[in-house]
Amino acid sequence: MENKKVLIVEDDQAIIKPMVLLFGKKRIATLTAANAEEGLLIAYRDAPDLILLDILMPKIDGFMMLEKLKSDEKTKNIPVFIISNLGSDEKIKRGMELGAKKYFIKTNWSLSDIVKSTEEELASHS
Amino acid sequence: MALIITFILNSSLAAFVLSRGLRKPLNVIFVAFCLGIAGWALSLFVLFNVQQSLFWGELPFAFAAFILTLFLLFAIAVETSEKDGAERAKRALFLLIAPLIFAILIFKHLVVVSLKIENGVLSPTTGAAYSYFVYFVILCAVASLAVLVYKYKAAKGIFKLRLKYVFLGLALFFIPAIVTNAVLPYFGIRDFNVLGPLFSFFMLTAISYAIVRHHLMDISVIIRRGTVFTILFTVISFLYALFGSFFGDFFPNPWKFLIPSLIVIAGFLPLKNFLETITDKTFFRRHYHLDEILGRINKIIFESNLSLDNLLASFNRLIVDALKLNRGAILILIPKDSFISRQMISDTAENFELTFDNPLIGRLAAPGFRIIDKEDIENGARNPHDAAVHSHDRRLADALGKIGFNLAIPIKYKEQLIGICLLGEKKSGDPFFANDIVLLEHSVNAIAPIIENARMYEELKKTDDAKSRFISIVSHQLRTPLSSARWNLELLQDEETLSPEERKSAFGDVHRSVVATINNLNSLLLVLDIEQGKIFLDLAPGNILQDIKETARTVKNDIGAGNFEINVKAEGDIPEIHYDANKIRFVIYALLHNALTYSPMVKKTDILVSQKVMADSNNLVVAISDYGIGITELAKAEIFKKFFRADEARSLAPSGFGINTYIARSFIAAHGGQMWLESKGIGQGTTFYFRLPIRHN
Repeated sequence: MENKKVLIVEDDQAIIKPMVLLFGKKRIATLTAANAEEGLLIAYRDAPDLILLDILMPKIDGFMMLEKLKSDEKTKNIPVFIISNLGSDEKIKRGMELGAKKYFIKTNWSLSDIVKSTEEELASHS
Repeated sequence: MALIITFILNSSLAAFVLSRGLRKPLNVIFVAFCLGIAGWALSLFVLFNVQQSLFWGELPFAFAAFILTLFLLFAIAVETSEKDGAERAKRALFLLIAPLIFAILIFKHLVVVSLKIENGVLSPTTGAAYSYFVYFVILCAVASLAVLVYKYKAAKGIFKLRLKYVFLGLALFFIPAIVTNAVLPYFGIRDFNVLGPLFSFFMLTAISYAIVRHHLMDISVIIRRGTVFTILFTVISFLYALFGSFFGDFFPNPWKFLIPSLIVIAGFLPLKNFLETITDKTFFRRHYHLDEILGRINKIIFESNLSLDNLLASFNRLIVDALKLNRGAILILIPKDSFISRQMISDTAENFELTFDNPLIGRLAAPGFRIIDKEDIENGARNPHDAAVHSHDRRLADALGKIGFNLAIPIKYKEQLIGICLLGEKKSGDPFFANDIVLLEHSVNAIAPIIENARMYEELKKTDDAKSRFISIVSHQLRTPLSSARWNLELLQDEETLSPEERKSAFGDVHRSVVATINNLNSLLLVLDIEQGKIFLDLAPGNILQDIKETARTVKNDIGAGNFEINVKAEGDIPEIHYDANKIRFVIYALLHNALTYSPMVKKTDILVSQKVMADSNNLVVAISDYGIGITELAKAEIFKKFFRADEARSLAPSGFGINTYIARSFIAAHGGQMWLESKGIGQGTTFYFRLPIRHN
């Protein structure tokens, strides 16, 4: 997976660290943002190949960022995986309706499976 | 016969009005007026049936002089607004000299010299002063009428209505009196002469009703009912007369009476309804009907679907339209707090709240159904001697006036006050009539159970929403550190994935995550206890400085901030006081933990312990000041609420639960103390304060 970069938008360092570590071992470059503002900036500027997006963030939440991504030419085609611990049916429905490709409830998934899904998605876009 | 009945009835009426209190001069004058007429009737009765002496012949004239003067006094004393005093009446009392003079003249045989009774008719021989007597009577009558008409033009609201009743009373007497004593005799019918005095009772009844009762029936309702009654009476009497005399020859007994009776039974109701519809259309188009309103209320109930807002809006609109008011509002009780206004129909949509210390609430919540009528109260307490008795009522009138309404009606369910219906003025300026009060009582009682159901439903929904939110936040906050721990452990399980440094770091992260989860769970359980009111204090004497210093050490260890400076200072002597050591240590831990977490730049916190008198007691005050990210004005109001985390704090420490300040404050409150904070804004640091009342037992 050379030259692929993944943007992780997540405010909790305790979550980001292991993710960055494993992506690193799989030779996938990672960009991180601790809030939606930073995330949008990086998305416009660096054109990542996939975005892993958390929902519960201060100020602008993940859903709002998703809407913004999907409404801009430059970013609307970047596949988005939602990674959140909010697991209600209505939240999942909302995320999919707004254009997310997949919705992961963090506690229910092993990290390697999330990374594997990401690799598959990246591969299908080569 | 009619005379003795008149005497009895009028004396009874006088006694009744007397029993309602002699506070107002108007009442006194009126009672004297009634007794005058009663006396006049009695003396005539004695004259005709007992003793035909001159004395008993002169007495009615004497009574007449007083009656007319008293009526003039009554006209002078009648009020046109709440500002009128009883002064005018008192000043006019000198007028009573006139009838006194005439009484002397009468008993000196100067007015009536002698009298004869022929065929039941009184024929007096008049004296020299007779013409003056007649002038006097006419003068009094004209003057009274002039005063009344003048006042009627100037009167407003309930005063105007009262005067309407006075005029109605006069009509009830004079019209029949003239008919029976002048018109009919002209046609040779003298039989009804004697009924004349009897009609005075109706006049007096109408006037007493007007001055004694607080809420009067809308006079147009009375006139309408009276008109319908009179027409029905005439029609039925005519029917019987017809069958009795004209057709009598064609029908034998008992058919003479049975046939009209059958006609009456069959035709009475349709005729009555027909007459009522016609009189309505002609005179009273704008009036509501009680049955119609109650029917509309039922409709509202069915269509509301338990939506409290819809229910209240529809009901409010209905009442405001029916009574033609300028505004109306309904307040619903939110338990534990205050009454919240739910609907205003007015030109200015202000919002307001009534708190439980408002005097209106006390009165409305008292047992029974009591309406508070601002105008009624203001008109009641005019006599200065009554001021003390009515001062409580005046407060109610002022309270209503302050929020801009005239009527407050309690909405009660099972004796409990659940809401208040507030009504403004009528657009016409009329007062609230007795039939309006009846309508309001029926309507409010009909809608009260539905309002209670809708209200409970809404509360349940809110509790439900609060619970959902609680569960969703809690589950998220517990899952996050556990996700992190799981993923770190996955990486650690594969011996080759991580370097030794990375492994060490990962183990540290797992440990912190697990500790965080345990702390969060513990805090959560505390919150549940607090919500149920279960805070038990284990009070024991303690040294607060000691506890502070030890807790500071623990916090530094837990966070791993060995180089963080925590300075503890005491101002003066700090005595040992009683408190629950575990809980206070929790409080200090929570505050210090925050101070350390949110001071990324200046790694220092100062703690000051002092003694101060606050809230009427001696307290130990602890101030914990950091030089960190500070708190905005907006956040200050929310910081003690469950799950609240300021944006700046969240950015710095995303996985916080946001309940420790809430728990800390609850613990301090359980001790009878208080917690508060100061911060000059972003980047300017924060100081948290709490005080513990000093207890020595």
